[in-house]
Amino acid sequence: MIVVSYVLMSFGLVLIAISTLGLLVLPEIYTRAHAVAKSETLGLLLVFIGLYFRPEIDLAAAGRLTLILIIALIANPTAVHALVRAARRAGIEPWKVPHKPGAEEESW
Amino acid sequence: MKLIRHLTLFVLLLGFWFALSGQYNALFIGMGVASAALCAWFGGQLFDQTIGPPGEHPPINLMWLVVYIGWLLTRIVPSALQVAAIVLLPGRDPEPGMVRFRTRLTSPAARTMLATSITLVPGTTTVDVEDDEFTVHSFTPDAADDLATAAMQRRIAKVFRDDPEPAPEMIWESGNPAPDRTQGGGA
Repeated sequence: MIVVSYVLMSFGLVLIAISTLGLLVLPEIYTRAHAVAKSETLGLLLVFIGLYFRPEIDLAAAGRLTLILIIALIANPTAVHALVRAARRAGIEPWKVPHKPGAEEESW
Repeated sequence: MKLIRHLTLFVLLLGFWFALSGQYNALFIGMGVASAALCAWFGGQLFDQTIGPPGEHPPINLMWLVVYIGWLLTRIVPSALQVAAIVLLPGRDPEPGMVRFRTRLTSPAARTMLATSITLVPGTTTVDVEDDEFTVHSFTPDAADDLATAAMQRRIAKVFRDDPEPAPEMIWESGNPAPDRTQGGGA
């Protein structure tokens, strides 16, 4: 059980790390919002599922974890939507693929 | 009716507070009541926009809601991995774009659910909702497939007992000019 927990949580943490990396390497707010809210959604799910497998989690604690997970799964997209909508209304144009995709990664 | 909805939200929030805090002294109870009241007050003002005016809420089909949540969770896995792969692998760039489409979902609750689901599933983010028109930012062109085929809208229509929805017309923002990095980067 504890091994399953470690594996799931490790995958989850890797995904959250990737989403943070995405925040650094992606070009602008819209694509960054994807990285933050997205890989992280799955990362969060995996960390929580991993937590359920830990021996010290009893039924009451599992219930509390579920509550937190539900709130996170609703609050996360809501906050990202608010950010992105504000960016759109402020007139920020979305980044588009340059004519030679892949040629200028370093300039991100 | 309006008061009942505020009170319901207050009770739910207070229950959430106590479930998480597990402390039952005057300080924690006081903080819980205060923050639940504050959140119920602010959140309650959005009720008309998010779940519709009182009394007009369509009855929800619980079975289809469970089916929908299960389906949504399965959609998260492949798209999250795709976004992660694009971030990690050199030579795989995002091909983002803005796309607009209309939905036939009638109730504000159904539209709220669609907007939140779009943002929850990796690869697509709801940018704006005006009446029945959704503006969505898509990380890759195929990330919006579930919307283009109305797969998501049809499942939400079942939850809210709306008519089944045909595939919408997807209007991608035209043009593919060279990017102006100075404009987006600092935001």
